[in-house]
Amino acid sequence: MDRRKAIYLLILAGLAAFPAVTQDPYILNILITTGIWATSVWGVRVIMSTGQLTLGHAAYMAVGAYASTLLTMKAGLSFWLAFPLAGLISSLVALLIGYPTLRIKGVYFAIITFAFAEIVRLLIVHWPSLLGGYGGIPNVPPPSPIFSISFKSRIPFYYLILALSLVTYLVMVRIDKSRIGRIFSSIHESDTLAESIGINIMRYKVTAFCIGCFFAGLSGSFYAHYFNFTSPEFFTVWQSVYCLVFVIVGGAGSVWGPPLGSFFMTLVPELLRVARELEPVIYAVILIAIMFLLPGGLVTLPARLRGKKTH
Amino acid sequence: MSKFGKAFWIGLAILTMVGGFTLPPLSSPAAAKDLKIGAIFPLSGRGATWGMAAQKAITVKQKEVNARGGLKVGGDMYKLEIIWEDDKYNAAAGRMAAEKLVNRDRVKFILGSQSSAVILAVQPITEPNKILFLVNSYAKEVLAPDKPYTFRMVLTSNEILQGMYPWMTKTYPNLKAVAFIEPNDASGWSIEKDCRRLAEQSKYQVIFSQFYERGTSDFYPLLNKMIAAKPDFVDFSGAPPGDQALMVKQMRELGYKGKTFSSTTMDPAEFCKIAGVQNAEGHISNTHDLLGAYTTEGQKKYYDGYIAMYGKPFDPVTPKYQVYLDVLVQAIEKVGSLDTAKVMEVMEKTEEWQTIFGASNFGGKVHYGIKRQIVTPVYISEVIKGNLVNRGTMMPTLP
Amino acid sequence: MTFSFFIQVLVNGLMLGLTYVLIASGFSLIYGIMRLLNFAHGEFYMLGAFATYLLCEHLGVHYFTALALSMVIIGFLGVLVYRFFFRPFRDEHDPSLVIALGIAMLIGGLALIIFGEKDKSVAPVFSGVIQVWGATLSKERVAVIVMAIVLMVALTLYIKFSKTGQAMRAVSQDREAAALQGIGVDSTFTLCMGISSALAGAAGALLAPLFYVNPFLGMHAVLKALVVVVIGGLGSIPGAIAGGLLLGFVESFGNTFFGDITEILGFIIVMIVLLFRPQGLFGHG
Repeated sequence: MDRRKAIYLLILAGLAAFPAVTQDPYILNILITTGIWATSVWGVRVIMSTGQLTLGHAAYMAVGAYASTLLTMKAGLSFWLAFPLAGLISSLVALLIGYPTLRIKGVYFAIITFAFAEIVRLLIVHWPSLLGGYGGIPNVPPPSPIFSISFKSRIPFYYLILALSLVTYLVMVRIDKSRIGRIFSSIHESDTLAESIGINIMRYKVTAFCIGCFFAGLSGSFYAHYFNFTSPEFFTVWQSVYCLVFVIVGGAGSVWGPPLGSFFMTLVPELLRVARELEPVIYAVILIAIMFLLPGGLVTLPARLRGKKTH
Repeated sequence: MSKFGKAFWIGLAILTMVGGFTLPPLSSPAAAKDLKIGAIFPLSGRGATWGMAAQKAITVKQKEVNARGGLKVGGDMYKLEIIWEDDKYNAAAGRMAAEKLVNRDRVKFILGSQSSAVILAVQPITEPNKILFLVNSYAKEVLAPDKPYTFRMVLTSNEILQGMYPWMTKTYPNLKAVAFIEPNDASGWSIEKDCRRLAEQSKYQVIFSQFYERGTSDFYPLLNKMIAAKPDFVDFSGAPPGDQALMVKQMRELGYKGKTFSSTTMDPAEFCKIAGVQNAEGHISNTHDLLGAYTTEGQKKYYDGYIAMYGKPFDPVTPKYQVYLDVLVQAIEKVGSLDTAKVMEVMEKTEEWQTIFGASNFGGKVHYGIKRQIVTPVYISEVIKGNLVNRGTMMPTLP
Repeated sequence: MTFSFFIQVLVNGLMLGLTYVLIASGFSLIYGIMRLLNFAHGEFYMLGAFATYLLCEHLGVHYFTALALSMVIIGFLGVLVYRFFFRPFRDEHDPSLVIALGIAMLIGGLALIIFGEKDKSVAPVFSGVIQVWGATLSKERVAVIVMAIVLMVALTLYIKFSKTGQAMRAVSQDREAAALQGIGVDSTFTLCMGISSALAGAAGALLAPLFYVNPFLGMHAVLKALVVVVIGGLGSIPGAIAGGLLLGFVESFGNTFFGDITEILGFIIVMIVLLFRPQGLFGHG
């Protein structure tokens, strides 16, 4: 096999073997949280690849989280069924919302996504009998045991999110390399041009949007069952903004952007705990600094170090 | 990304992880005999007023304990070290903070948050790990029979109103109709439920109840509607102190002549500045005038400790947070052990604790399903000419 | 429902609306001319309130002087932020977004550390209330209404008739063409940023005695500004005025007659506007 595949397998092996090296739940939590956001943010990236900006991604995570919570707690479904269903429900909602709205471009679409996200959040809180209201829904069960592995400790969660991230990564790479991916980026470059050569841009935009929100739904579902709790506070508009920030900081140009951005932005607040009350300030400074130093995102760091032009 | 790029990032990630678990935990190394206690409070963002108040009070108590050599556990003395984490009044941040405290700092005791969402998100970690979690917040669900390690250290509207509403009926017997205004958040909703239930128990007629969007500062539309309903008094317990002051100012401007009431604590200086001294006249709240009547030895000591540390002016919202650490210290010293199961047991079984508010106990088996709610005296004061005047004190009954 | 009750609802809507207009107009200006969603706008509003607080309560400056000074100070701050943080990324959409957010977080975080978390107040200049056809309005509010109208009229006249104002409109319509005509895009942006921030500062200064001052005012303000300019039209001052007033009336009527479901209503209106007329009521596509 060629060099590249060997390196990837090495990375995978490293990540898979990681719990053998340390079982510190704190570190595992950071990696799991990274994985959750990476999955979600890969979704943002695929939406952005068609030139649409989404300021409402957390709402689709919320749809997935609440769908999965209700399916397991009220309808008695197993997590393993509820989880993919949550993703599908999210993408269904994305279809319903995306179809009439994706013809709107640019910042206006972003604001529609923001408005929709707020509507979702407000619906959740104004339906307390079903959706728990502001207090959220506690005691969300962990995934039921599978292959005789129970989810009592953190390690099975780690492997599950690793598997999910891997699948998401493979899907994203496939999309990037395939014809669909090329069409997405041609729409991003110039949708009038793409349209003129016969591409049905609406169809592809909606597809990208549904794919992106599918992964949002999956990550939301995982979130709820990992934290054993779901709350509208997890899915505010600021969380959506952070989704965007993770992609941009990581680098929207590369499929490695989302995981890099998610990892970095999850790790930094943890490292900044020592700064106590200065943490929000330092976090902001770091954010600004990264944009100044690496406008193309963290993925461009090695290339920049070698003096290449990346932007 | 190029091969080199990927190798670079993988290498960096591995280095970080290796560094992460080989380097010592982020808190300072423990001295010979140190007891580390975690604290999760909103220290930035919206809830910072409450979080900082709690931090001040707890720090005053911590200093007092350490000044006498520390915590006495069996034959050893333990200095108290408190690791403060900011939950930003947000469940996700609170959960990450708890992860760090429990899994990294390995604390066994956590003092925490005023946000119900934070507490509910943190309990899945603290309960299975038998971490004693001493909390605040208003939501009823925070205390439950399947969460024996969570104790609530501050009164909620359920307990407070049991004392305050009956007092209102006796002191102002011609008030019949009450209006509620609460913010749209977990506390607001919880409080409104309690207010409604206890108001009806006291034979009040609830003629108006509306929630407002957080961040609102212009309450004229809401107040206009409320005043038209002609309430005799308004209860806005769930609103943050600044909002309460604004509401009072604005409802007086609109011609409201009834009573204003809150079951929460307030800082009269701040309140009167924002509301206007004349508008605030007659406002009833659950604030203890710490240097007026009902002052105990312990309260005077706390006041002196606070001023020594933070200077004037004294913040009257803080004393109730001192109870967090006070009761924990007493419980540990009483049982002579740092085993959380034992401390939990002694906290439940002890019939009476002496706090700066006098005799206090835990209750709540009937209402919450488990005896984990502290019961401290309720102080009622009225604002007269910009000053707090004590009007009475009572102990809620919480079977 | 009596006539005076109804008038009160209208008057409340006007007041709310003008508040929103004050906050949103600068935001709209920046988007229209610079195509930047300035998340930090709310923080300038907050700083305007704090500047007034410090000047009035700590330095004993007379309120109206403090108002003028606050506008100048915050306007200047806006120019600095533009020069150092926004200008390098003028044409790059994604980094601009993150930087604006970063600046918002930075200012908010610093404000909390410097000023503390407690609510502060500024003593009002006018006290007492007046009655207008049975509706009550505090004199403070009347003053704010008057000053808000004055500011908006001044702004509109400026944009329409002054040379630099016209330059701004040219840049907003077609940046390249404007540049070809010899209009300095950078200096136009700088001026725009300065005026917009000064407006935000003015809003903060005007509303400070009415409400309270704390470091958290910015977040809520910027979200409201976003809603207003979307409805009215990004980049249009008349649009911001119309959008702000519309939102004010919707909230006033909504809260009075429908209760807290009004929150959702605002966003539904946003979505409807964006679906059928994305450029907003007054914007140009």
